[in-house]
Amino acid sequence: MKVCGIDIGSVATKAVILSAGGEILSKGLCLTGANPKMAAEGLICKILEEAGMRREDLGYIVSTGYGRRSIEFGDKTVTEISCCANGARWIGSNLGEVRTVIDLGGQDMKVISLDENGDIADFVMNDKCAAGTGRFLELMANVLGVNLEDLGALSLRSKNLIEINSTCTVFAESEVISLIAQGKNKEDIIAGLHSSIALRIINLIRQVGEKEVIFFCGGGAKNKGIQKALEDKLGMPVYVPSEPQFVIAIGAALIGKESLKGRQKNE
Amino acid sequence: MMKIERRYKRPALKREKEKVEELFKKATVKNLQLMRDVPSRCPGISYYEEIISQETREKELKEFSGKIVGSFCIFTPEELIYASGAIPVRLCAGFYDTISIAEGVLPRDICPLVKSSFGFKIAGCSFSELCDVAVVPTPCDPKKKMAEILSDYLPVWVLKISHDKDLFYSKELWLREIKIFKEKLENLTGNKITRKRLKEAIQLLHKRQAVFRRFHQIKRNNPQLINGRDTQLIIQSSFYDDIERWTETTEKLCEELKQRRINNDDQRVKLLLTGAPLIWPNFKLFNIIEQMEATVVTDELCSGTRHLYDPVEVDEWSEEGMLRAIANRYLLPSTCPCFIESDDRIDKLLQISQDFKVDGIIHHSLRLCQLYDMELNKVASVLKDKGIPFLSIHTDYSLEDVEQIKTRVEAFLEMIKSRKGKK
Amino acid sequence: MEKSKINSVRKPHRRGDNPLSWITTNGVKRPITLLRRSSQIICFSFIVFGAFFGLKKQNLSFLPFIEAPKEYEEYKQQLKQEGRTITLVGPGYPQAFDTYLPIKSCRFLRQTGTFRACFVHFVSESIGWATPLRLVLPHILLFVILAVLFGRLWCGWVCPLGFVQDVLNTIRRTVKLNPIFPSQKLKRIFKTTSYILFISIILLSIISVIPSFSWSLRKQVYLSVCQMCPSRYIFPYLGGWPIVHNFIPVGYGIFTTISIIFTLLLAMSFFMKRNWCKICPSGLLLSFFNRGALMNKEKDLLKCTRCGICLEVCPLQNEAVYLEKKNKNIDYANCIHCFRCIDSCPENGCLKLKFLRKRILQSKFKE
Repeated sequence: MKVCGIDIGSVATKAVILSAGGEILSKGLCLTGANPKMAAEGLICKILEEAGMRREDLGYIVSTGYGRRSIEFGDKTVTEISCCANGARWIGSNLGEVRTVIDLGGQDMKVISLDENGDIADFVMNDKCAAGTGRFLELMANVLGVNLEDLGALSLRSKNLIEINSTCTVFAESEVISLIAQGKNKEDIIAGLHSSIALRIINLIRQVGEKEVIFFCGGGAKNKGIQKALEDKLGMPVYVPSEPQFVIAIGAALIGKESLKGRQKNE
Repeated sequence: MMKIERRYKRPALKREKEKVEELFKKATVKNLQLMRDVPSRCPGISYYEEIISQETREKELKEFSGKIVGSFCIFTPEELIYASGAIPVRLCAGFYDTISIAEGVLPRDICPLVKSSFGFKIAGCSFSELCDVAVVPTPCDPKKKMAEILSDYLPVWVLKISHDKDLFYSKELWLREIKIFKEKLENLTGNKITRKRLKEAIQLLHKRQAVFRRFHQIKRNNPQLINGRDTQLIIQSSFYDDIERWTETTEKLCEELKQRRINNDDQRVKLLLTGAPLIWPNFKLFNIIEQMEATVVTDELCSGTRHLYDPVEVDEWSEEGMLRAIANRYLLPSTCPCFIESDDRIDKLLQISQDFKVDGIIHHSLRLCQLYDMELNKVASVLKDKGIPFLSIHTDYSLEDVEQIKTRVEAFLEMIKSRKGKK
Repeated sequence: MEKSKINSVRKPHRRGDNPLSWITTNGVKRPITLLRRSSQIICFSFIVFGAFFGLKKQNLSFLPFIEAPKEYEEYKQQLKQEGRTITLVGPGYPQAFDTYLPIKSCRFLRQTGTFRACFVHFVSESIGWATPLRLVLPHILLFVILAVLFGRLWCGWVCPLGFVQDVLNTIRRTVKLNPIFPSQKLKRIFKTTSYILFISIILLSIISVIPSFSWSLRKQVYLSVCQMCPSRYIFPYLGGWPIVHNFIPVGYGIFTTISIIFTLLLAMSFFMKRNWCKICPSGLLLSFFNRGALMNKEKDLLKCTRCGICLEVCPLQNEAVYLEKKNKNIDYANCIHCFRCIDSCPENGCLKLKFLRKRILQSKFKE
């Protein structure tokens, strides 16, 4: 039996299908948009098609993310925190013990601390303000007139970064605009932005305590600039998986696998 | 007593009475509705629902011929108020929509509790309108300064609290404060607080407190009998209710609870709620928690258990002896973060979590309640070291962050369950 | 199965319940204090008025250290011959049995005494007569055993002087006068005084036995403890025995003056609870055993809310019980084991009295 994990985030919806053995059979991503239900539905159809499977092949569907309750076909809803911890532990199993998981999503950031057994010991999330998250980067990219994907590469080229004082989207925007007006180097501004995001993440990490191995996932982890800024500030290596956006969806699928086992046992 | 007259006075604002009343009613109805959507709810709650809705009680108080004393904290010695023949009414509020009204007078970045309570006075509705005087103890800065601003609206008495209760003269200072308070009450009501009256008042409150402890024990032995929200409702209705009637009703409720049988296994996660006060109708956090597979078995809130838990223990029934006992009861066992050390509070949290066998602790930090926030770090690290799952929720009276809090609480419950499962 | 589960939830097991719960139930606000008062009254009656209860003189000469007591008249005669002033109070009761149990008696109670009270007197006298250690040892052993078992339980539950102070205090309570609480400084003064007193008693006893000092000096400092003791004025009044004053020679005069001061101090316990106990040398001696005694008080550190009632009711204003937050053992030197703190503590099971680790009493919230 196959299991599916679907992560309905604020910006993107991600889905993963796992085989009983634990291989990733198929995965896909789409923008969530205004209707999370539609997005999820469409995405599942799409990845099933890609894998050449039918709906009946899915033994268990776990939904997570902020829209987890909006779909009706799921068997279970789990919070993204548990999923993220699970996914990170599974993906990072070859790195040794993952003890700290950073997730930089579209509208939130969270830091999860795991104990020796891989259980969640503690977690923190940003409060209701979405400053310094993916949405923030998106807006800044707009202001600077560069692609979101290019931010990382650009910032690595920076020679001396410019400190950005604010992570509040509104205030940072005006700050960046004034820096552009002053004719400052774009790369340096971007590096400054990354540094301020990293600072915000580190503030969260401090609340749970930094422990190696540090695992960095979520859409924001695709940005190499933030990874570098984090490593510089922490003085520790920060591991980013090859496809950081799918960590939560994989985690959800793994939870689905466990639940399926439990269900089969009961039957 | 000599008193310098205020030279600079601002005209008191009066606005939006009807609107606030309507919104309050709406919030109350909404909350009550949420609380009713519970399977096997404890019977006999409707009485408290009526009291907390305030309308009935307001009518009763309007007809009351004596004085009504509004209070702002659990530091206000209710015994003395009863002994003087007046009725105490707690004015602390947890209502979101009065905040914007209060912001006409108060700054934005202060505790929402103060703003909310103050907003009622500006709107000129609820109990604050019925009060002849407001008693403002000064545990924290917003309350202290609010006393001045509030005095534009009605007479205000300040009760100064010494912030180090271990200091040898703190007790003396507080006792003096209590004595002055007594004198003021005598002047206000025209009744002398005699030894006999004081003794009767102490016994009256002791009765209420004894009944509450009985209730507390029943809930401890079987938390299923009544859920956390209803418990809060019962406690908070005692803020305004006629004390004898409340005691009687709660006594009956205890009997009913003892008879009550619930057969299903309790799988719900037992949580302890601590931190800043959650006052009606700000039951957001309770609702979020109890809509999931969790229950608030007990609390360590000044709007909750702490209001009724500690008894006045009199050693000598002389006037001085009784006053000293009253002073001690309000000062010494208090775990308010306004005192410079938080060890007592941590001890209390550990004790409650052992006693009620709780699975985890949720700390409610009211945004801009700095005292609780500053204590949070120490409290959290000690409790986590002891292996108690701990989650802190930063929020205020608005409803905009319900979804975020839900995610956090749900993740917290998942964490507790997975830990429990491994054991 | 379900039913049994409900029952197990509803009925907490009763094994660890308070063995004395019968007394705490019947609406008594301070049951332990009631018990203690009864004990004090009974002990006081037997110690001071033993003869009234038919306790006659027994021939106990088979026991060591039996001092054949002089008859009342005989004693009076002797005093007259010595030229001392005699104030005669009371009818002069017949001699009750006079043993050394549990420890050497108060000399001012000898006419009616049933028990012997004051170990300090015994120590002082033994030194004064240079009694061989062989004969003293059994008594010391008995004292140590009792002290190790119960600590200062004597002071709170038996001591007649303590009872007198409690009676004075009760009178104050009934007339609704406010007590005076000693300041920290005063407490320190009391403590220092008690040590000075104890040491000087031992030193004076030693002086009284050294032959190189003149007899008149030795006579004057002999049994200085009893010469300074407030019971010198209290028990004769209560028990009917002559009160003996001497202001001459100087030694007697000094001690008599001190004893008057101490008696006044004791009388002051009308305002300040248990004043004499704060400097009593006998109490000081017992207090060395308080901490390690088999009978001990324990505090559940988490349950304590620090409401301060234990401090409020403590006759010696012992802050230790109230302040202690680290060590669960709360037996302090100046605790007289009156258990009023256990009696008044409103937290169930916060304060406990244990004997050999077995719980005897515990605090309970009283409706």
